[in-house]
Amino acid sequence: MRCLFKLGHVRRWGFNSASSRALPVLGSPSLNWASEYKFYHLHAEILIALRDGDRKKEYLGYLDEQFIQLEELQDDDSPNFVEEVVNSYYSDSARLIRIIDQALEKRAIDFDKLDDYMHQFKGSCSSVGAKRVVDECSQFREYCAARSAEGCIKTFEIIKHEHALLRKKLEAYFQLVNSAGTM
Amino acid sequence: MAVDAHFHVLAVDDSLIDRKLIERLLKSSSFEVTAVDSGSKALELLGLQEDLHDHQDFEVNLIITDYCMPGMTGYDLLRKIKESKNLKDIPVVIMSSENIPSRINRCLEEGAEEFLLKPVQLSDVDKLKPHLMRSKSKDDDYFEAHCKRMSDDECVSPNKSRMRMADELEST
Repeated sequence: MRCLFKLGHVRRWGFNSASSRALPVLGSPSLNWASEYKFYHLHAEILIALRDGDRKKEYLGYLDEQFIQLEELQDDDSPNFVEEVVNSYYSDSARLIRIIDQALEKRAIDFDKLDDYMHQFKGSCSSVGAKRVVDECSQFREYCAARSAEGCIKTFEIIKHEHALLRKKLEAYFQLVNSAGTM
Repeated sequence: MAVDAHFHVLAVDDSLIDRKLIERLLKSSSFEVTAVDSGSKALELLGLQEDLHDHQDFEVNLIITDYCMPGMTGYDLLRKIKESKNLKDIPVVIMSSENIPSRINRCLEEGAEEFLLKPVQLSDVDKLKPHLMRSKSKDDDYFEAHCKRMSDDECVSPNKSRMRMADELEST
């Protein structure tokens, strides 16, 4: 298995020492090495690895630094912050997905309205760090500008797929984090 | 810290996720936060729409608002605040997910202190602190809390407060 980044990197990025509960700490007694390894792997898997000096960005994961920012905002005052934001994101984006689906079903598509809905949706995705979904949203908006119904429909299928895939990954992630328990 | 606890920020954003985010960002920087989902709600709280003069219950040191909102945009809200005699001195910061220079210039020209690109980061919140300090230094509450016991030399308050301090010394 190829290592995405050095151990030191992951430590800096993923582990919030301010939170005693929410995220496992390296070498913490609450985790045996097997689940610690699993955590590393899952965390690394969901995060985008941006390698210095690479001209071609390889999106090996699903989330960007914004997700790490959310993790850094989690602390004892707000111990479930990341999960709360992610839950809000999924319920809010489900609503927008329904609206966009309906808008795409119309015979005469209102591209301006569609672009407006997508702008809202993209904003939420960006706020949680859902990089892959955000990129597809940008593509969708380009098709809106070009008034391409086919382009919009095709891209929206990809968006829904990526959105659902990310959800599965995050569910697994939170399950692992929560089962790790307290310090 | 006691000083920061006096700073109250009013955050305006129609997106639930962004409201959660800005609230957490501000709270983790020790600000008090009130978050609302529209410009009209913000104006209601600020007492503008009802033309209230006595709204001491709701004092705000900074307003941070999203640009793109249905109904009243962040720009509309900015204008209304700057046109108001009671509210024009409150610093206003605009947030937007879109980096459009003409939009940014328009907001800055209308009196916005800063224009932040979303998603907003902790480092952006740090940029807000000088604006809050400036607005607070005009406020008597701050002076009373922090300068009252100091001598004239120690206290770097504006002239108005300095004169008041002199009055107090005379009366004792």
